[in-house]
Amino acid sequence: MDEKELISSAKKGDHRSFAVLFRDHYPLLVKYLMKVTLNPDTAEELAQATMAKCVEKIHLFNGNSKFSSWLISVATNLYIDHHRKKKREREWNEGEAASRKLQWHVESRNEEWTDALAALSKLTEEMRIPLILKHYYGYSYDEIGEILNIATGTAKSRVHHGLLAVRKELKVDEKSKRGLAST
Amino acid sequence: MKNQKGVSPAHEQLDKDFLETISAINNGLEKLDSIDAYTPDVKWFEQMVLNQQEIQKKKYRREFGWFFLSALLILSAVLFTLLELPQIFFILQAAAVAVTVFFSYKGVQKQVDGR
Repeated sequence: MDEKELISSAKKGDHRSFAVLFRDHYPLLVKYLMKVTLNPDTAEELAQATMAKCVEKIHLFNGNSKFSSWLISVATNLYIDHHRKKKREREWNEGEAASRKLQWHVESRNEEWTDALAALSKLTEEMRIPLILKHYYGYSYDEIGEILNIATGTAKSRVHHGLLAVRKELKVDEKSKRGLAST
Repeated sequence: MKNQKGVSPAHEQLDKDFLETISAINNGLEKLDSIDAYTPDVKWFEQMVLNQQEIQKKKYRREFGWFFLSALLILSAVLFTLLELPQIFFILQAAAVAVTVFFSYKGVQKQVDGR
């Protein structure tokens, strides 16, 4: 069965079709949430909550976008709600610890926790999510606006400010100024 | 000073730096993609969906029960007042019409002010 047929029978309540759809998209969903939350535990927790939400709301999926895009949209909104519910300070402390855990995961694979990842972890989710959706997943500003329920211009501005913030953390501007001054 | 493309060296450097920043971000994120995420088997997903569908059914039954009870209560009250206390019934009807007209008017006024 292809994706359209699976979605069609899932809409009729077939749990097997739902299961196949979820199994096929689970790695993408968890990895997307891991990048956005920078917290492996929250990523898995939200992936399960996303699937539960999708079972409830499958009748709202109109098939205009890919199923993966719809999952990402549901997951993003759940993450934003989840984030709002937590107190700022507590979230910050947990966020620090969680990204350290992810850092340990990366380093245990003999990979380096890059400065760019450290810079991303310091961004607010308001900037991090559009930046990742735009430059890693290749979504257009219109699509990002739809996913986050914001205007296209706002999505564009958040991506731009996110990039500027990362550059500031990486001290790219200082380096390039020094480079230009030396030439 | 601008080059042949009409771009100043400072802007050219800025564009290059933006691309470098994006590339640095993507390289970092690719490392996260290389972490193995455990995917449960299809049976686990089936069970999860069945559990969720069961929760939804229970929720639907509970909501329908509350709706039915509320409707029954309201209808009983209306029929009781109509048959036993007709004056109160007509006062309630008049109050309902007045409240509807008042809030509709308020809504229109807000829309006009909004423009």
